[in-house]
Amino acid sequence: MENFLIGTAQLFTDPIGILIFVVALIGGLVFGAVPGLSLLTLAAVLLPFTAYLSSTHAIMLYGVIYVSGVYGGAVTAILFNIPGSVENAPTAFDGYPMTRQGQSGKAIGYAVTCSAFGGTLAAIAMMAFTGPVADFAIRNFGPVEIFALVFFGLAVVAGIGTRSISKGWLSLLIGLLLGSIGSDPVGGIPRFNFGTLYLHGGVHFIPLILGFFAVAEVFVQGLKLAKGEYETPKVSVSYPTFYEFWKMKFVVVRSALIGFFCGVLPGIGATLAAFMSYNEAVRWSKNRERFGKGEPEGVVAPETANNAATGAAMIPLLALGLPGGALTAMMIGVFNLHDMDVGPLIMIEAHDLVWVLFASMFWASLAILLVGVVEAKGIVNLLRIPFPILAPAILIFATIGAFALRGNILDVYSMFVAGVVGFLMRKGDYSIPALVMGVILGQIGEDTFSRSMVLLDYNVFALFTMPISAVLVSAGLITIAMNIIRHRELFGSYYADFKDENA
Amino acid sequence: MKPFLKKTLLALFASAATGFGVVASTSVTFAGSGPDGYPNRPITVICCYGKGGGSDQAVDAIVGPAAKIMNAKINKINITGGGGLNCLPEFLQAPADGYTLLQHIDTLPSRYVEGRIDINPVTDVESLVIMNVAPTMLFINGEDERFMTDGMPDWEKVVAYAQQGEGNLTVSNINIPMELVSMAVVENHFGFKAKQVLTGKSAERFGAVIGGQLDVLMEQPGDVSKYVEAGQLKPVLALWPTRFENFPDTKALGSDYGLDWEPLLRFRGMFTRQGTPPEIVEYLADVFAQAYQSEEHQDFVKRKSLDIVDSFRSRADTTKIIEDSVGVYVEAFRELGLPIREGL
Repeated sequence: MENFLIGTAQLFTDPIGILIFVVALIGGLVFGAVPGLSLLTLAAVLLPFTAYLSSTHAIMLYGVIYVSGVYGGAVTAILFNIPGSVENAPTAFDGYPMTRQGQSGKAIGYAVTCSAFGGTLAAIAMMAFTGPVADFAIRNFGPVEIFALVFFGLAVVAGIGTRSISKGWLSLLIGLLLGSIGSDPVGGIPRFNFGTLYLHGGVHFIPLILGFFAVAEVFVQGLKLAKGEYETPKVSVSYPTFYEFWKMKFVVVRSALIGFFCGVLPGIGATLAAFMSYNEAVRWSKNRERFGKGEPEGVVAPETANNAATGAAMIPLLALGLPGGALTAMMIGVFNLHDMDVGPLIMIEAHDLVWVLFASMFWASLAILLVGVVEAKGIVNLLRIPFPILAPAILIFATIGAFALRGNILDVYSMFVAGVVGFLMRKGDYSIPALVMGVILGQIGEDTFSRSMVLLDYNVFALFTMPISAVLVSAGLITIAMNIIRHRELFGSYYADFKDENA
Repeated sequence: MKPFLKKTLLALFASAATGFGVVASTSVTFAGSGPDGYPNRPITVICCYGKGGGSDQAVDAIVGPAAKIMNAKINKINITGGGGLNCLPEFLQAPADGYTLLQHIDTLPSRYVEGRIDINPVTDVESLVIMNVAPTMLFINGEDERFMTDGMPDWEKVVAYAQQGEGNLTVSNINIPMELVSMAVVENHFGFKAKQVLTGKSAERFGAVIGGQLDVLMEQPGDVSKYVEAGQLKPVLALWPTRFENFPDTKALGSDYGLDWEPLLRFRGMFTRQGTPPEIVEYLADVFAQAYQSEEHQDFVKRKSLDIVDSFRSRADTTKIIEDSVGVYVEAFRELGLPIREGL
């Protein structure tokens, strides 16, 4: 507690520090919200300039950008179906349908509050348990356990966003197939690349997300406009009530734990946190059938988890020097620029600096609540922009976002192809969330599965000989079995209806 | 028009004008310090690996001083994916005018020999300099008593454990020919077969040994120096003809175990297109040589422990290393029974 107070005092008694804190907070919110200008873009642009800042200011800047940027991406996901970054993609699954139903204010309200809650909780945990948590995660979670976790997550995905389980499974399998384009994760053997180097690196999931969500949405709304059926979404600034928040308590706590846990795993970070917590929200919800159609729990879960993961990602970074994602990898660069190496010695060598970072991330999480409430009231007015102006702007931002990712024109093509496919899939009631999760979790899952198999001498049943993987894989199998039983019941009733109608 | 809409359109127009201004300002021509005023517009360096990684840091460290020497702007773009191969189409499509440079590593010759790419690193690219050369070592977990004698890492104990059965020893490694061939050399020399778990993600690669899930890590010492300093990893074998001054207690494959071979190197270099005017090629090579020696860059070299061996190679030496590497990999692949490009 004393360290935290000292860190807070250092932060708020320094005018330059306060200025950097505010600029980083707003910069993260803005860059996180615009697809072409992700928080990584901001972080990369600022990297050389951090050499001119003091080490404390430089590190604090990145901590605050990380916290606010992860939340910023939720706004465009909710309002326009354009996730600002990949960890906000699940937020769009239900956030955007809420907007179409005139509940944009509530959706943003949930996102703001839960982001703040998740981030604050993780910051507290980060301050309290950095050493032991990092040690536990690194000793107990290898490729076998991470694969089991992903398998558990995939098992529930197929039921999201479609009325048909079979179409859900088909969507998931297409996602897994798309994720396998490029080269295999262990041997690097090229596959499905049709002899072109452009496909050697595979199809990245960010252009796919932009295509399936943003571009497909422009097509869907454009078609409605052409048919004269387009309705401008109602602008709503009503915030969720305390009672509505209270009803979410279990979702929030569960998602914060999932987010924290995924964030701690080296190399995994906020993306898996958001998708896993969304899956678990579906699994435990009484309103499963409402997911993908505007269920508030579908906003609460990923937004709590992805912000919880930001604080948690600092634990392996600071305690072990292992980054959880691209931004934390860049933070290593910032430490290096200031002649410091993250790792076990950082807590001793740069004790004060670390506590300023902790304090700044804690206060940034709380500040999101204040800034976010004000922002939520104002930003929903963007929905008043007429569609003929909004649609080209969305396409331009999405195109920039796809190309800026890695400077590869293939990503722009992929995005537009995904847009057309997404449009047709939505018409046919296939599940876009299942497909996207298939691509993302499939890539992580295949990589960890391949390494697990090397470790387990290619014996799949050995997954059941390790306690954590045994529990997770068993739970995943039970979920699949229950899905099949439910589907058979559903299919049985359809079949009975069909027989009755044709009798 | 509604006031809100008016403000929105005004804001959009202002944003577009600002964007245009930014683009226009970066497109302004200027006179550089090279032949015939080269460069008179910004140079692009294509970095084939991700932001924040070793290659990215190496590029950042050298383009800063190089831009000052040239009196020019150098933009870096990261085109990632495909194990560093995804960037090559962009590079090959650029005109051979010295305005598009490539940063690449030893995978350029090794993947060519493998037949994975058709770009001949000897005839299709002009080598400028190598600014980063790193030897490879094997590390064990700093608390792994199985492989220690009196608290010091003991390679003989690792070998004894590995020889108890095929796949007994687990190695955390990366799927790049340099590392795979180096590990195969070790296995052949000591007569064991290890189980290699491969991943390109350095956090997971290091974490697997620090967390005690795998036995041995193959890595360049500069990349894991902080873990070594903290005692989480300990070097157990240098894949080098002699012991390193920085690690005097760590046995070397050559001097301690009698292996006579040419060690493969992790190198990071700068390249330009074949067909670039020779005077520009020479000028660029000279600029990067000066940039390497700059105080700013030397700080980076020391911080990253890149001075464990001489980390710089001139244009002539780089060209020779690339040419030699093709032959070295052909020989190594042949010895190991790995597939080789037809005609080599």
